[in-house]
Amino acid sequence: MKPDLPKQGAPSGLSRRGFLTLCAGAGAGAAMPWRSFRAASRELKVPAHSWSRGEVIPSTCNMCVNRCGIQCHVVDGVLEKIDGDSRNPKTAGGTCAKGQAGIMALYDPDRITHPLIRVGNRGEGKWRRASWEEAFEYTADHIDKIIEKHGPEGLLFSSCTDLTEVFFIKFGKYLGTPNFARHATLCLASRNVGYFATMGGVPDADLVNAKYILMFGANRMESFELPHNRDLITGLQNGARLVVVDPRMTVTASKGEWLPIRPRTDMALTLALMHVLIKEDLYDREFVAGVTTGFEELKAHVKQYTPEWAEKETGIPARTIVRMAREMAAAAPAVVVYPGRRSSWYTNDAQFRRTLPMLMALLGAFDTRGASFFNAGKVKPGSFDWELEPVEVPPRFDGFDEEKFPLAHHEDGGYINLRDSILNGTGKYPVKGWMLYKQNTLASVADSAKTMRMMETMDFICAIDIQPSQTAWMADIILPETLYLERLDPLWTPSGTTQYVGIRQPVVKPQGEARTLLEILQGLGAALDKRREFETPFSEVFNFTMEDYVDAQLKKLPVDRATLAKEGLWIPPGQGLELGAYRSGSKQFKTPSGKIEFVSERFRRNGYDPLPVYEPVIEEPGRQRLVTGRYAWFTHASNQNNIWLNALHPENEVWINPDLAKEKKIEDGEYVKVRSPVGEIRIMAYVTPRIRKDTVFITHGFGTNSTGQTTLYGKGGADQVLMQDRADTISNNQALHETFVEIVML
Amino acid sequence: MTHPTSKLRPQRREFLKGLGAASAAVAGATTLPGKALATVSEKKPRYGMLIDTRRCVGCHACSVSCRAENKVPMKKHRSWVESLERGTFPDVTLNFVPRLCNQCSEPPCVAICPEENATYIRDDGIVVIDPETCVGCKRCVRACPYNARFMNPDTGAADKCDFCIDRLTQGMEPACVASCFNKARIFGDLNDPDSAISRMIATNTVSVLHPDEGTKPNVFYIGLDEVDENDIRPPEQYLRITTQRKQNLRR
Amino acid sequence: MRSSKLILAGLTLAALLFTVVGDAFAADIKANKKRGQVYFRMVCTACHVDMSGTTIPPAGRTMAEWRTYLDADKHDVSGKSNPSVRYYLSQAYRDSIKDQNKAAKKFLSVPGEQLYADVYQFAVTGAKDSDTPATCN
Repeated sequence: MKPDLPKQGAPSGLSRRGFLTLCAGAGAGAAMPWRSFRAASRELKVPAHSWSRGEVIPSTCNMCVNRCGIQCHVVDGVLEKIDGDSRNPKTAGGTCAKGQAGIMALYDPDRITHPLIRVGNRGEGKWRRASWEEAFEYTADHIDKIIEKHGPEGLLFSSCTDLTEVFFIKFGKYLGTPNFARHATLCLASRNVGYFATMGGVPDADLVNAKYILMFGANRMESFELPHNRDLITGLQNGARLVVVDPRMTVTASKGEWLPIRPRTDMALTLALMHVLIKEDLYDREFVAGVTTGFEELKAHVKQYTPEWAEKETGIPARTIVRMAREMAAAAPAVVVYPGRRSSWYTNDAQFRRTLPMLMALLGAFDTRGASFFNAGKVKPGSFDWELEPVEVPPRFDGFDEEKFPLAHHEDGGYINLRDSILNGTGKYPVKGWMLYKQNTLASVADSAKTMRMMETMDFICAIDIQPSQTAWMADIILPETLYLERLDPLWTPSGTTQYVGIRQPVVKPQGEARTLLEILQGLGAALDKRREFETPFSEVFNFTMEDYVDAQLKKLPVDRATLAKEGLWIPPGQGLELGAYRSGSKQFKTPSGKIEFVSERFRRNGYDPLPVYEPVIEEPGRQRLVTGRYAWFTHASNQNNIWLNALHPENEVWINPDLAKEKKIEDGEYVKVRSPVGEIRIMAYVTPRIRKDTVFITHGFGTNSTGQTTLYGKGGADQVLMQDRADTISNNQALHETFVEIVML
Repeated sequence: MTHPTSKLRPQRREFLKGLGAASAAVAGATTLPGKALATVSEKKPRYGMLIDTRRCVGCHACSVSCRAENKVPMKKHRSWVESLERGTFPDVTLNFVPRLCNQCSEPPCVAICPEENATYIRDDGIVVIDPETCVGCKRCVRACPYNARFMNPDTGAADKCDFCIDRLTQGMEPACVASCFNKARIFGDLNDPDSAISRMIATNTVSVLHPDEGTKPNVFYIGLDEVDENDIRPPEQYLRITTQRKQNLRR
Repeated sequence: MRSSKLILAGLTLAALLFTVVGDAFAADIKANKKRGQVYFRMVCTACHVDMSGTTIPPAGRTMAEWRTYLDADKHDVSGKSNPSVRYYLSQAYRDSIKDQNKAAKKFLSVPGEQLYADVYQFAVTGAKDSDTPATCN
């Protein structure tokens, strides 16, 4: 490339101004920040890589769900570099590898930049280019046919979580279907149900000031959740003790004490810790008496769960368990029992998650410095004035309701239950059309052969996506959406320790013919309006622009869109935590008793064990339990095809303990077959002492069946091909760690 | 099952103790772009970097940020991260060593270069390459004890990290420093005793890579895991060093 | 139209039997929780926010508190607004605000007692001690 030469010692006015603004916002002081030392040094011809910085546009990242503040350097309409926004209270200027590689998501040669209509068989990868007009007519025709035959409830809407998801959901609601499937039961539904029943919500954590941090599987150093990953490092530097319970030594575990627990026995450890705290009278009597219920029942219940018993279950020595309990009690209340995020592990996960806030409550480690706390968002944006949704809507087809899953979030649906209802014919009525919004179901739900069979039952599948994901590849039509760098999105207001309003705005023009989700739904809605009469015509519902939507959100805030677009974020005055209201009793927990419930009333009245009862683990001799997790440079199954990120880790491996490898005569780096009752993959062996002998680990997102993903195709193996379709019994959260596999030499 | 992270610390040495006058410990790194430069005194600066490996999680933000900033060709690396895993289950350690050109005060790459002005140390201490003058003889690539240089197929010249000179001139921190989430990197003027980097060096035990080479690096580490594959260790002890560079041998 | 006394008796019975979550009005009126939700948010919450700046989330009260409150039909004891909750669910009230409020307009033809049952079910099933507490978002 031809170097664009900056002027000696004085960069272009634009970028200098851009920098000054940035600096002033950060309060960096008045000193000339670009002090030229080059003039004083030896003359240097500009290196070949150098480029002028151009315009700096603030926005919000979308390479994962953290929504970090970014500064985009754009030269002549081309995005050259993404930097973090140092004024952002959540991210403090950092970005991750994924955030940096947003450029390659934008300029990805595999990106879909115009509508594609399938011409071959499903999944064959034969497409023809279509105009948007044709694409809308084609999609509306199919939707219309399904409504004609099955009613609007014959359509299923699946979406991935994002700021724009609301439009997709609304579209389905105005269409009149109750059948939605959101991401919760692929991720954190069981954690939410467990915490909700126990203390009425999932608390945040003051990791900076904690003295003792206990994490079960949570991997903040690789699976980022800002600002927790940075806070955790800072907490450790402040002297916190970190204990990570995980059958695999994650990077997070490497920063503290690693307890390689026998998988699925985590509840034995938490119950035994509670046993020791009560037996040795180490619990916080005042807190327990003040804001909890059911202590006496708990005391009687955990009497059976001795550390010696837990040692046999977990493989963690009884003396370690006793030591942990004593250390935690000594550090209390500055203890964080970390809730974790993805909890799609085991079939008893909601019950296990319940033990975490219970342990927290025994330590009195809530609503005080260095502990867990509730922090409701202080920034209250206005809401958009939507037209009224239809209220005469049939019940869900899959029975995901008060009766079958009384404690679940019914509008989010449950993937395992939903897929079974279709495949077993147990649904209340047929669902024949599937609208997908960036939801890569084939890659994200256990047992992809079953998902494939579910797709075969569909008369029509429409995927709105950016890339030819595995699932989009199986669709009948792909409608290309704009990337986060090309569009204005609803405002972003995080809840948690940091409060601000962030904007995601276009920094470059859309590639090809990609359109925003709102534009796609407007086009599709207009085509549908021509075909039939809806309660509220789509032309009346979606008759607004993204700018209108954002302005409505800003109505009650003392900042306007132009300022926000210039600054990238607005930080309200008065940051900081207000603690103590729950401890003092002036605020009540959202539980039936208003307190933290050791004995859960919600569980009791719905027929679940009101106190968590340990179920012994059943293992399969000679086979290993498969677990999954993340590396820091990939988000779920979404960016393994990104050229820069794929270069960091071209293919995934199966982690095998050295002793197991020796028994199986498997060499590090050789390809092996991994076989489960439902599938088989070929994958490279990574022999490492960072995992237990009875467990193997495969990271997620490889083994694509989409030949459209040219960087990724043919590399690695897919964990979800192997996984059996188990689910948590209470929340229907899929249970990804319930499959035993066999490692076989090729 | 606890794993003390400082089991092996060969070749460690106290570095530059007492250089800084500041006594107060500095918590964390400077987060403001330009701050390090803004504190430059009228004295000539000497730029350096301090990497606190205790804060590093091996996330490769630096690796990709560098590629984006410097348009580094694929399969070539100005900035990379080594991951060192070692031990026997369950006593395992995992450490990271983010790597880049060490901007040596006694750089063998400059000494061996046959061309005048093709590579040299600037007054601010940064070792640079002039791709127009470089004849592409690759001697410097071989001479570097840190494997920091490579031949750039786009220019035909040697290439390596230059602390993002282009960003520095505009008052910005090097790309790898700016992108580091966990603030594991501090960049600044080693000649200024009040700079964040000087104060951190003065108040912590720091080390450099291969001090025995006599190169006098200006990239310092806190908590550096200096074990390499050539070190003497019991043959049964497991050690794996991986980088995205696909070269396990660490020089 | 049924007398309000009968309805009240029905409500009390429902409260006693703890069956509101299911179908309290199955015998008489089949509640539409979704309509209750829309009306609650678009009319009740919107007005409270306008008048006092505070929201009235279902999760702000227990199921028993909601039942007591709604059964007593005491909207406001201060006298600044109409003392009856039923008044605000009546067709007459909806008619009076139909030009400013989409929900009032859309549900204009829904009988007052039906809407009362709808809102009742939404509030109680979203109460803070219910299985699925509801916020006002």
